[in-house]
Amino acid sequence: MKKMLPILALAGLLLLTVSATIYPTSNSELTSNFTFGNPEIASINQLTFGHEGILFLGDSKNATVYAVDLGDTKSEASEAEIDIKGFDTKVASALGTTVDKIEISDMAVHPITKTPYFAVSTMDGTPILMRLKGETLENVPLDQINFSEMALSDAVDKDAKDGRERPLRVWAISDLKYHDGKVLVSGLSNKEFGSTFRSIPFPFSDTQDYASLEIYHAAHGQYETQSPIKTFDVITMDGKDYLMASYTCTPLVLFPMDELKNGVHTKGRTVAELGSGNSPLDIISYEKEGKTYFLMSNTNRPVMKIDHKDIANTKESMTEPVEEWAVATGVEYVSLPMVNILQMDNQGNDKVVYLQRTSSGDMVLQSRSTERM
Amino acid sequence: MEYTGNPDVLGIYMKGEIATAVLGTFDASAAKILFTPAVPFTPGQDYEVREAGQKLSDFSIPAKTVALAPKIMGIYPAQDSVPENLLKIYVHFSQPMQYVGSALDFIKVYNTTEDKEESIFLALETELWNRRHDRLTLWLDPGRIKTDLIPNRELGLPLKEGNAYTITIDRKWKTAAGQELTETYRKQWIVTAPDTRKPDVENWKLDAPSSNSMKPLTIHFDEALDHELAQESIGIYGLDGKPIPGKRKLNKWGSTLHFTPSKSWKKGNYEIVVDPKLEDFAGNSLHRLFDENLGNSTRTNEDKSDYRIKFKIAAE
Repeated sequence: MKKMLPILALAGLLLLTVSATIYPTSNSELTSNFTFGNPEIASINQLTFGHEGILFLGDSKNATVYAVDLGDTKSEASEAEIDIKGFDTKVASALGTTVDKIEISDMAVHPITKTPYFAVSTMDGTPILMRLKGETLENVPLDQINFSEMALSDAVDKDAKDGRERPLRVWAISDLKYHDGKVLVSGLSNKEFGSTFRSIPFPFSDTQDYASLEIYHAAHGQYETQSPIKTFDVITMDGKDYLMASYTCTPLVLFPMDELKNGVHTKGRTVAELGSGNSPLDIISYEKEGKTYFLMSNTNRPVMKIDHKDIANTKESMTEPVEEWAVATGVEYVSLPMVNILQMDNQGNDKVVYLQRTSSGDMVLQSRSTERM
Repeated sequence: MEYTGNPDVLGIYMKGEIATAVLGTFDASAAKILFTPAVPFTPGQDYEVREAGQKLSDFSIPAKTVALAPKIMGIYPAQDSVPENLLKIYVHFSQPMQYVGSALDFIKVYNTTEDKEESIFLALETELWNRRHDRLTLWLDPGRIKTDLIPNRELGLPLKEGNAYTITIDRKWKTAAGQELTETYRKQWIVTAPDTRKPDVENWKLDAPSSNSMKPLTIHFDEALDHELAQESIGIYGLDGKPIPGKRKLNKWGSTLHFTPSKSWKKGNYEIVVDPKLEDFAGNSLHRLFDENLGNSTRTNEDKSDYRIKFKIAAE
């Protein structure tokens, strides 16, 4: 007689994995200083990919950025549109729990395989990395991975020198992007009102640059150094790279990337203010018909589509109050019929994947061609 | 229904869930099949074991009982009156709180003078918790506090001088272990005039003990200071530049710091060294005001890395 299934071993409540060991990729130059093991990631607040498919995870609790070699490099070039209803419920079910006990903190799409990856947290803060293959969610193990790490330590460790018990620094990592060999990180302190912006060369070595960014509030002719950056992207105009940052107190500010150097105080130019009660969630760029646009999702407004050219046209003045654009309208934008977008990322050159809370309260994961944007 | 012996079609499901199986690993190498979920099973949840969609068995995870009910230990500033330009508050909990959802879902602010609910705090995707997840920092919307920014022009300051407010923290807020708070917590505020002065160490008053004692050095600030920063921004040094080890205790109002040395005070000269990042309730640091018109700026010491106060320990 075939035996009944024995009671499953419920005691083994360890965070283990479903998939096999991750094999190193061929990115040997990028991953040559990686080690294999358990990085003991404590939280995942931000995810972003390098163009080579290296995944960067921002861990606020450990105040550390991890680079992970996922071994997920085979291009599958799936052309299938994503359209999954009840996505949060699906994630919860896959974790054996209910939707009120999980949080999807971030999403990033693998640039080569086009696979969406999700940072998920449970009630007790267990960080989980998941990916969507077809319609199936997979757990990506974080305890046996090929990785390197970079601690977001303070440049000057004042507290350490007088022997005081120094509380472990937590940096609430508000955004994380990879651009041209550098990992860019914006972080907020949970104590003083301030922020740091770091530019970390990758592969990680011992160096990281602390740029001090000052923004000019054109609306009232005033400089402001300390306001924290909520989200940012790197945009290219006339062959020059700019950091475009959105601040907690609503301005959108441009900084020339080549001026962001260690210890150098850089003044940025406000290109728009977004108005009260709203803050940007994600900023991404895409190209269509030879033009570059960027999309910005917001807490209280639809997704805004902005032509890079319109920003380029406002670059005359860095420091003078310019009434025409220093108001809520600022740079011209088009509101797309996309509201309550919680997460958004490019999927290849011609698609955008987004997580949306619909008016009925459902959370859907969908992809959309940039042709329709 | 009996198990047919094919682990490939086995699955663990939440009770009532049809499509998505629980992620985890099956180990069929031994006589028993061992399933390890990707994250621990949820206390109080029912599960089913299915093979090719057919239920084989079910099991439940017992709900967790925690001996100590979670509480709010304090809200800072602890004062009943706060300045109109208050920048941030801290909420201390007795246990680590839940890592899901938004803190602002559990915190309501009611303007009792104008009889309406107000939204005064800044919503952040990455909330500002400490590492243990038992202390939350909330900012009052900085865009509304800074003069002439659009949120300030459209909505005005988050708090209005002369108005009274009630902060309510819902007991439905759960701990990381899933237990609700013991009770709904309320705190009243009367809003006073804005604080438009920087803290000034020149105006701090000291009570210095005499030598050969372990009595605390008491520092009376010129105004109440940030509850967390006041505990970590102030160091005591001998004139040789060496730090004096000891314990700091801030009073609940943030107005007085007691420093008790680990060893008896020795007669001589000392220095209090203060990090300029130290802020008052309105986010005015030692260097600069939070909201400042550059036309008449008081930013004079931007390059100063610390502020120093000399004091003397006299012979007993």
